[in-house]
Amino acid sequence: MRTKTKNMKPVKTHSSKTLNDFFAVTDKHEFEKTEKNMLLAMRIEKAMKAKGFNKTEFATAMKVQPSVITKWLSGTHNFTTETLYDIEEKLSMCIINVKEPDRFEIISRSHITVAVTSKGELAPYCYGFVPHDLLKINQKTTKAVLQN
Amino acid sequence: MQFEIIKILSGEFTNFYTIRFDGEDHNLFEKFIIENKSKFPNELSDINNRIQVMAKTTGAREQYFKLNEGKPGDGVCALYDQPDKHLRLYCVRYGSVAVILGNGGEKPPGMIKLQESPKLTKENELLRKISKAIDKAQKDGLVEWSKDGMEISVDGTFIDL
Repeated sequence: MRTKTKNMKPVKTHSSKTLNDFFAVTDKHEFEKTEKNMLLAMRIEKAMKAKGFNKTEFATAMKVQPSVITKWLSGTHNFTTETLYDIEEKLSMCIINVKEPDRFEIISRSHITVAVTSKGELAPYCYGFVPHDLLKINQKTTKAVLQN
Repeated sequence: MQFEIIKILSGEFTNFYTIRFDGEDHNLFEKFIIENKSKFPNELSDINNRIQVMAKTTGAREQYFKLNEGKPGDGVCALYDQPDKHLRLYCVRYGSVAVILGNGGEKPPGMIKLQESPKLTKENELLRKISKAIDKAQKDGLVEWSKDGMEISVDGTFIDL
């Protein structure tokens, strides 16, 4: 029978030289590789579930043994690009993006001026266009000041 | 024989714990590190990386563990290492938010059955007993999990094995 007591407290946190040395991440490159591998495995597993595949069904779709799927999902597997392309196709996901980034076409240019009044307040149309002849440059502060 | 549960790593997604027996200086995970650090430093480094990723980024997802290393439902599983999977670390997994790290050891090449390694058999059986003891303590109201499953509270310090 469960009984409540007043001695219930969170377990203590322990540290030691052995643990501190172990948990110190010494090779950042290797850590990031491991993180990417595990994140990739997580993405594949989530995509499998989204498609309604269990391991056996996905293994059949990929024409491999279920143990191979287990290995793929473990976060320790080094995939070939060919396997990743096959997975992308079966799970309708994008893992590798090999296209050049789109070039952006400039279709308009705008010049936006932010102006303040001589009292240091934001001019009411400070977010719009301000004709240059209304501005006088304060030579000392080099700030643009709206002429009243 | 009694043991205490101690937290050794807190993360946004997973907290990691281990076990220390009353009267012993080192906890189970410290023993694993000490026993394997000279022969398998790369494997230990990989295990550290995987633990850190689970704590900080992904959670202790089931897919990262070799499951069913104990009795059905006791949560005992094993964490692999890379590059060559020389080590096996036994754990008790409580969902993806809390893991108790035990001990383990070298996995002999070509090993198919656990019983082929006396060391791994010993560590595996110990963790099964620990998992069972924690379950019993929870049923007796001596161990509680927080609502999110990440934090463990205990009545007193030690739990009977």
